[in-house]
Amino acid sequence: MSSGKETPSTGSADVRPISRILVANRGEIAVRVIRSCRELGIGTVAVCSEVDRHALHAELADITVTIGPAEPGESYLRMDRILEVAAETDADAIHPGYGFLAENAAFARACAEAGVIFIGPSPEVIEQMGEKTAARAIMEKAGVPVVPGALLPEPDAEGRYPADEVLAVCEKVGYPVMVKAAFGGGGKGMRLVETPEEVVRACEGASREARGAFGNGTVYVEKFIETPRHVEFQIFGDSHGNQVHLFERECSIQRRHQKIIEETPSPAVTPELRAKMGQAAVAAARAVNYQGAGTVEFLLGPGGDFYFLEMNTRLQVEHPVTELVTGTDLVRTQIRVAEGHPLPWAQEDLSTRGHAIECRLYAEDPANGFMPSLGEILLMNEPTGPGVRIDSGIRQGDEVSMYYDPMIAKLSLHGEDRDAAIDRAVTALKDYAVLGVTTNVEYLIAILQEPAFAEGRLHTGFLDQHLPDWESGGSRDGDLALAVAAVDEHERRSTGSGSGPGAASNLAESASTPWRYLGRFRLAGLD
Amino acid sequence: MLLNFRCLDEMIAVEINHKGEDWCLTIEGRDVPLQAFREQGGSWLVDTHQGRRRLWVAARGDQRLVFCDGRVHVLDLPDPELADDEELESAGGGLFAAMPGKVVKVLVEKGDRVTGGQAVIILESMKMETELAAAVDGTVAAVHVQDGQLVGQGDALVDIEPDPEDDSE
Repeated sequence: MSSGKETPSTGSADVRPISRILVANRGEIAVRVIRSCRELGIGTVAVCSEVDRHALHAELADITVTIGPAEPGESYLRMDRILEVAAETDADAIHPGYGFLAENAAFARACAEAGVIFIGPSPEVIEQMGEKTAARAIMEKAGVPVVPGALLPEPDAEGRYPADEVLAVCEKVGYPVMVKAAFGGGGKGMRLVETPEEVVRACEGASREARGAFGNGTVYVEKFIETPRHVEFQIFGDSHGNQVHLFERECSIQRRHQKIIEETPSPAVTPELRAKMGQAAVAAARAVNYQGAGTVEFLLGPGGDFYFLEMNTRLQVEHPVTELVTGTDLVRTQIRVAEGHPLPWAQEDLSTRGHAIECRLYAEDPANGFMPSLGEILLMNEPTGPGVRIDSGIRQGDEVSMYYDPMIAKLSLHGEDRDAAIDRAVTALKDYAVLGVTTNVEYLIAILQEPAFAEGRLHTGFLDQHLPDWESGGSRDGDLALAVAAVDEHERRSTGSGSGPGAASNLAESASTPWRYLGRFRLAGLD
Repeated sequence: MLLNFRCLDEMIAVEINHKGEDWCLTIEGRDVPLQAFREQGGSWLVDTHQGRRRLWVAARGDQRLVFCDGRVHVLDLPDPELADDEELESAGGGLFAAMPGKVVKVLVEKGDRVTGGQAVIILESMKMETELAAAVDGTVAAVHVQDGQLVGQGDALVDIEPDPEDDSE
């Protein structure tokens, strides 16, 4: 293991230039990777399913090969087909994006066996970090803080726990504690315990419940982190023993563990805490001699206590916010590192400027249980302007299909400070017109406009606490919408076309006339 | 031009006249002046007391979808010639697939009594399950699909013969 401080080797003997990359993914991330390849003068191969033949990623690549039906299991997850295509098209490297095969150790191994560079860490690291208990053990050994926890002693034949021993264990872990089934999940066999008086009874209850639900009554206790934040660190390593971090991202705004809004810097992380957490993240990277882009996820307690959650051995969805504040290109660096180049930056070269926020636009209905909304995108207007970045793999006229993640785009904003970034996000979202499928645009605006959000008081239960029964305000301001719908319909019928691309230029000549809207009007029955 | 919009079950008549970007709408008998013009990208610019607004409109069948300030408004513009047919269709209690997906489970059989709100079928789309419920009290007249079947958007799933109108209310 390297100390990571020696001057990075630039020995060209280690470098194996990549001339063509197969992108084993779809959607915005495939588009993102193809763009970096083009900038580097590297050829691109896209694979696609039958329904994705005309998807943006399939049209942008130099070569596109259809590898199977829409079902991911028959296309984007087919390792054998993807490696065949790599061989047929002379691709010397594969970028897996995120999701699909990105954290599949068997695939990384198969690539190596086929002599194709897998752009990511080694199969061994993917395997170790994919197994939660193994990852936890490695991190603990490396001195990275993990959530304190311990297995409980065995109960007697009647299911009674030895009170003294249980109390001693919980005392060591620290109250409040969560009693959890060792072999289960989904909230069954789980008890939150605030004081020593309740703990023995809670253990017995949890154990009974766990035995009933999972056939195994083993329980353990873990320190309960109240209103934790999700704060993760971007890490990067190369094949020369260098490992650095690129600061944190706060991803506390999530529902059912799905992140919706991410930002950096975290409003909760002070320079001192950042140094401490960054050090822990780099220690985590060093512990496995990490190569490529990765993320170390932490839970951050209200008191500044933080605990290793897991390591993601891939490029993260929310990587754009890191790129915006650090001025780096993580995909380009992934490719360079995979070729054998050393990292372009030492830790002390890295700094951040301003604040960045990412909002994930989904084709889903937040007012209706977040049901995915499928169908054709009839109209799409992407906002533009300084500090506005959009990563999207879907265009007007494309279909949101049932087979894949319903994410339409990632809207990332960069501003001088957090307030400026929030203002920029709200303004951009108000111009992010997507019609044809229901989206979460209005919901995202509602989150950003919550006073607690502006104050930076975030935690992973934020949405449940502040927007539990959110509803669209769609019927308010309906009068203006009705008036414009009428005017639009008039144009549609008199010119044979409505608004939308290519339909509008016939009115543009009158654009320079100054005018004023004469009177505010309201319609009865619309509110 | 006269247009009849339907908003929340209420019909609203809009008469439209214009000279350039000076529009005069007569909505429910009231004159509403409006300064609006269309940009090259197809969006509409309107000046209001709160400042300039930019709106986008798309058409899907009888629906008009309007995007304004991050919010989507859905208006119906029923075609008068088709109105009768539509009336007939919507009178029934049939269930249709709102999006393509897979039938996880049909919970009723032909001849079953159902009450409004009762779950009738479970559909899966994008790995998410949704329960579809009967809109009205009635009897299952037909089941068009079976467990595991793939369905397309708008496919008929289950027909429900509504109970005769109750005059008591």
